[in-house]
Amino acid sequence: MGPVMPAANSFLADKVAIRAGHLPPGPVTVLDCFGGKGLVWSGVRKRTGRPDIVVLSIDIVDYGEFHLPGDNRSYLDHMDLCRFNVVDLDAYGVPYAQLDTLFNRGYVGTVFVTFIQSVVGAINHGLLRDVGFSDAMIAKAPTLLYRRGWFHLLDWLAARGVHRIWHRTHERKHYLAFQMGG
Amino acid sequence: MTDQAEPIIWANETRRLGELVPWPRNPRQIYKDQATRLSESLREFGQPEVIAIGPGNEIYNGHQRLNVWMDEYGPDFEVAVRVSSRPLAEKEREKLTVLLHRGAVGEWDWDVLANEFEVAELLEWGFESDELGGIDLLNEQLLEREKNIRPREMLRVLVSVPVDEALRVRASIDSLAGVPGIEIDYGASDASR
Repeated sequence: MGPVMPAANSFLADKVAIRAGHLPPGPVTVLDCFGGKGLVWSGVRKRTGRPDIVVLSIDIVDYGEFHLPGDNRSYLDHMDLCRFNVVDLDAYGVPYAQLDTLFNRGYVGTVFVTFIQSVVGAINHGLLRDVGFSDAMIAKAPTLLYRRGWFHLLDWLAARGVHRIWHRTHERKHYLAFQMGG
Repeated sequence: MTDQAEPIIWANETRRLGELVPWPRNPRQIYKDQATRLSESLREFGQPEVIAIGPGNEIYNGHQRLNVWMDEYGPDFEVAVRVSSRPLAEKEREKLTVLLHRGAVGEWDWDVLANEFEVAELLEWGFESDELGGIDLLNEQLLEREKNIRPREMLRVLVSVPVDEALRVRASIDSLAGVPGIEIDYGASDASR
């Protein structure tokens, strides 16, 4: 296998650091919804000296490691989320559907999110509707509305009850940590 | 004429460096820092890899070792070699050279490197920093910020204006910029593109 160096992984150290810095106290059990090859949580274990961190990974690609295969949205809809005090959404894009499911299911725990607006910069229209834009507005000028994607995400999280976030940001890439519920 | 279909048997022998014949068309090269490491590796590890040669002492693999060790130890230095049972044709030499250094070698498992090796040592032993940028778990680049967020009730207004009226309308809208909390964005309708 060649170097794992897509654009999404170019700030691996920062992704590891924000996770290492915001782990919940006590035993940590992670539902890693975009697990890939597990590079991020392997790094967290190494950085924190905590091989006891348990990670259950979901990925649509079979990397040959132990993981739940398939679409994470299906698992998030039905899994017993109480078993996990951390949910990791390290997506390339905007994990709106996954976050929406967590909020709707009343998940309580630490959430790590990667929020990246691609070159086109599209934001999920559900998120835009949730922060007050009508379907007509979205249809008429979507790219205008995408400009403040990061700020719309913050508005949306706040509306769903999140009070504080920690983030590391580079241009249109944002790595967040926050507490959901509780 | 050499029978190129004849299987090649390799035998372990020794030669003095001065006996070995470099290949004039050798496409490999070595930089100064690599040569230094190669020299140091001989002192530390001896000769874990042998120089491959033909029956006439022509070198098939190991030119850089020849160059480095010749400089350091001179032509009488004895080295381990693997000698082929027959000479390689020129095309076979080309193919072997590429296979040994590119086509038939494994690749780095970056996961293992990231989690089992120390980056500082990897750099010392020959990796370049840009190769390791993706796995350097200590090379944080971004400032972490804490931000309090609160719900905002917003009324979203989209104003569409004819182009001829755009400047006049804009002046009116700009006058609202002083209202706390108001957000103003301008752009062309996507349908117009």
